[in-house]
Amino acid sequence: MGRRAGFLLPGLPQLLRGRVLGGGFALFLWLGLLTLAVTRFDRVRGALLGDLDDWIALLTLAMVLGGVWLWSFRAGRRSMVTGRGSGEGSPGALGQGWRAFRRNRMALLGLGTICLFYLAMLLTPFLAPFEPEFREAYEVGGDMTRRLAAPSSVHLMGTDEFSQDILSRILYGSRISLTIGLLAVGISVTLGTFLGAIAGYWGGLVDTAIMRLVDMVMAFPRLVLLIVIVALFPTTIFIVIVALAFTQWPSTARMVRGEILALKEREFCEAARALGFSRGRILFRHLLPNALGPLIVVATLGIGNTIVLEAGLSFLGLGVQAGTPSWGSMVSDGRDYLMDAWWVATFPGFAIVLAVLAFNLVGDGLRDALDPRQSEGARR
Amino acid sequence: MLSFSLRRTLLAIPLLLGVATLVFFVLSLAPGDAASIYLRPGMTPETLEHIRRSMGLDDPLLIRYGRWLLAFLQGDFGYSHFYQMPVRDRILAALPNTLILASGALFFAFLIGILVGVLQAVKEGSFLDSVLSGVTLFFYSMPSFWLALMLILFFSLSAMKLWNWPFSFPVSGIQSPGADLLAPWDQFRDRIHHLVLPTLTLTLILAGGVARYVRTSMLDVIRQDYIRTARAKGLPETRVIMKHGLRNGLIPVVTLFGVYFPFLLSGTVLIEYVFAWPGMGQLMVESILRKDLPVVLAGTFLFGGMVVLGNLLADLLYGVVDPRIRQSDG
Repeated sequence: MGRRAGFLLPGLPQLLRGRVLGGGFALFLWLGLLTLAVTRFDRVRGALLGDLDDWIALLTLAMVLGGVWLWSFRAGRRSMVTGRGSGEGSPGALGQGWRAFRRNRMALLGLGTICLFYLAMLLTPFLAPFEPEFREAYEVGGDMTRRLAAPSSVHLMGTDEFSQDILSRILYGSRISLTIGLLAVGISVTLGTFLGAIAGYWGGLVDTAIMRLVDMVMAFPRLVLLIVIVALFPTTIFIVIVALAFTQWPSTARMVRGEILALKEREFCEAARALGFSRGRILFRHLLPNALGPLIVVATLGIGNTIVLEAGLSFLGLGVQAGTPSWGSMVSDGRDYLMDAWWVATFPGFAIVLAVLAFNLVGDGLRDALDPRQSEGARR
Repeated sequence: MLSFSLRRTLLAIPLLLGVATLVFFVLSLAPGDAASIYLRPGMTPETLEHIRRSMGLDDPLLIRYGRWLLAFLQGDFGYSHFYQMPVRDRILAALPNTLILASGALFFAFLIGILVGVLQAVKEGSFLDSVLSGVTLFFYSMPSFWLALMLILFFSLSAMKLWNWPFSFPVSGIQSPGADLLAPWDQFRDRIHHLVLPTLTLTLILAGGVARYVRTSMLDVIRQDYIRTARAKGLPETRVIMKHGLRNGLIPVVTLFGVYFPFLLSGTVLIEYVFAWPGMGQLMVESILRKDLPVVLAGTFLFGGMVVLGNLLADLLYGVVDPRIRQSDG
């Protein structure tokens, strides 16, 4: 029964076995995407001849539809055999963390929201009802009442001063916010981990030099340093990402250094030294993997923080170039029409809040699941 | 205690110097220089070169750095070509406005944050705890500039035009036009009115983070043995919490002051921009857009300096409330 159900509808075998959350999400995702593909079939077919964005969207659609179906089918079959859900064998530290994480409903909700956000970002060409630059009122025979139009069935979130559809612009704007957040945090975490680990492990003069630099950068309110860097250099998306990364790595470095200092004194590190392993091997193979938990937490919370900061930069008109839709600049556009058209500023702001909230929920959940200090504190 | 404070203070001085150095070199990396302000159509390259030389801009970087630092240490922050006045005077005019806004928000944010956090910790796991957790995380995740716009929408525009509320708060500036002519008491009320919305925005943004931290810290304390002891010897619950719990649970909150200070200043930049509040943040943003480099240089340093001093203050306070810190420090 379970096997056939998995073949027919993904998520159904999980639902039948009482795993409401995973099964429900899979079913919802699969049916939603299928509906999208059917209702906008023309657009999807046209994407075959489209640009890179169209191809990415097409690929995402195919892979998620196929992937969800395959996962559900195989997980359903496996649970038939073992009589249990997935996750057998003895899990490592991260595996245990995932088990703890899975029990946290709010964190799972956050994770689901993040997945939906990124999925919507990739599928934007199919999802968005209009092009981001489409100015309906200014077309031939255009209707000027379409400017600042209230939310309706045509424009679900209304239109802005140029009669551009807000929902479409939010979808297209998600590329800026979500990508920059991920890239900047990726760079800063890599850099911060590397420098922090070296400072903590080598000590001495190297430690002093790196940590004084950390102190200096951290002495600035992050936004102030950001606007100075971004405004004085020619504004490109590259500069924004570098500036965001440059202002964030010190906090990661400080955290990693602390972790390494504590781990250095533990027996397993002593054992590795006694075995005559090289410093690099001890640091990267033995010490850093043990600092991975707090690092993941810091990175997740950092993405949320970075999205807010990038939105702030765009709001000040210092982010990516004007014209490119981004959530922060859309809020800024709505500032002058707050009384006449509240929807222009409100909806992009909701997008920011939702995305950041999701990352913070996941970060909190990960901290509860992974951070040993936290759980030690709870046990005490 | 004296030697502890002295040592911490002395440690802050090289950091301040480092901050000034970092600001100078980051700004000198930027393309274009201060002479471009004088660029006019039809100007020959030779004239521009002459201006640059007379401003000392063609000297080597290190010499310029030395000269700037020397002047800086003597309190000469340079001359703003836009405002046609010394940078120091311009900044001294803006700084008090920022400090009023920031200190008010800091006070209320810690007041509300501590109250909510302690309430959550005491009622851990209850419905109230979950609701408050959701609310604090919501405000914690919110971009300050958006919250500011939403508050304007509700408490100023809608309140006045749609709902006919008897009050509505002003949304820009530090006082109404012509407020100088009012009686002192009315002038004061006018100022307070203008403070309400910016302070409320900053408070809400900060309080969420404070509450989250206080909750964790208090939960840590409540699980300690001495709290169990206090309960076991039959003390009333309020006394256990207020006297034994709160005193220990709030110690780490002092460090939070240092952590949140830069966050607060970042917030003031955006809030001042939204509310046209004539403080340091607005001055910085405007000067950056105008490429008024001397103001940017001094302003950035000042922000850095405020954070260093805020951290120093938090350090010293920590030494006051927790004697162990002083001991371990030697």
